[in-house]
Amino acid sequence: MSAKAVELILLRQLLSRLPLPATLVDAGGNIVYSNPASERLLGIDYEAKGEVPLSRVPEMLDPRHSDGSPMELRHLPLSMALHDRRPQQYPMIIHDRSGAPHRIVTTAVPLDGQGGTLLGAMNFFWEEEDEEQEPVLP
Amino acid sequence: MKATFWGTRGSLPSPRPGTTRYGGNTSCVEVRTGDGSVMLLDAGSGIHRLADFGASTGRVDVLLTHLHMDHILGLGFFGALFQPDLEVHIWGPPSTTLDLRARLSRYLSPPLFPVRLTDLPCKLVLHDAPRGTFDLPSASVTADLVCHPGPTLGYRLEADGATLTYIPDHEPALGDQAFLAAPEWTSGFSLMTGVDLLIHDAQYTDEEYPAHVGWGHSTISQTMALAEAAGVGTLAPFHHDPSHNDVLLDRLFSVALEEQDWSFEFSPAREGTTLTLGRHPALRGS
Repeated sequence: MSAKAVELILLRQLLSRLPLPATLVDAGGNIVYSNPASERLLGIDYEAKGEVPLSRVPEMLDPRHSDGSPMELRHLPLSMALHDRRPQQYPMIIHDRSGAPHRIVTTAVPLDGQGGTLLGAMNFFWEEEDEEQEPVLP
Repeated sequence: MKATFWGTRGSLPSPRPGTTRYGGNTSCVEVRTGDGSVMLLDAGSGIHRLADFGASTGRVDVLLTHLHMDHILGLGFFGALFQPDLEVHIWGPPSTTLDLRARLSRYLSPPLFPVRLTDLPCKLVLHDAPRGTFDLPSASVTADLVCHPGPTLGYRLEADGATLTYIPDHEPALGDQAFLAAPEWTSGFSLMTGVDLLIHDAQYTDEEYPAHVGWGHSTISQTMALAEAAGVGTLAPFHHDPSHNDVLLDRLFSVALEEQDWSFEFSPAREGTTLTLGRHPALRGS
């Protein structure tokens, strides 16, 4: 059996404690971990599903741009972070297991290991507030 | 393949009357293969006992797991570095900042040490150990990062039909509420799966661990559970806490052994002893 890279192991342990929804994918594009906050928001039990390829996200979450148009797999922030190896932040719409839409902002970052090895990518996402908030000046 | 323990102590050299059996020197294990090739695992204070490799040895490989002081403390006193005809290859974990030479030079240079790396008379070659499998003259080595503060490698060696895994500093239970429930999510697990001999961190007792979470070490009971899950042939608990004397270690290991009917042989690392691999389980020598 092949153990995960220690960076993924440590990230999983950290993410499991955060209230912010987060997902980890490996270098092969498989969702290897989704934290409890993410599972709560999406109503999806990833642990029961096992590892899920990123390519199944469109059918599972029906991701859309913020104007409601469908989002292709290659435009998912996680996909772009993984393939372009640079951070992405994007407002979008996803749908939970019941079909209810959620307007979210997602930030995805590539996970580059020692020596430039790509280990995968992770993303955080959070629901946008319903009401527009005044920006807070520093 | 033979493994000889020259340093078994964790963190700090601890020579005193109460530590003579398990030993007071810090991490160093000599591995010799059937063709006489020599590999050294870490360069703690125990390495100073290895003074002369003789004319028949042309090359020595030193595999450093990480650069914490107790694992490199003996380098400046390692006789091989002062033998002009000897080729010494030092392998260490890669870093995202400085290369191995720059990091080792922080110790092997004034004011901490009078001799610089560049002044050593041996034929010194430094390597950032690749993450994965690479070949040494008589062994195949697999290196992977494991859970310990700072870049830290575990090594799995295969030679003479035997396998040995060395992970002296390791805290796989860190933050893992379901420790060992999912081996693929357990740091170091694939390095140790099915090996003939596992030399593994067993620094703390269960009572000591809560005050040291995040320091990068395992308890004896965690290590026993890891060895059982990984199906190892022989477990050698290693990196004994400096405050644990021989009497206490005897008692702790005796209690751990009685906890259940373990599937592996149990051979706590004791300075000066040799384990012979290639048969299953490992045999204790002199």
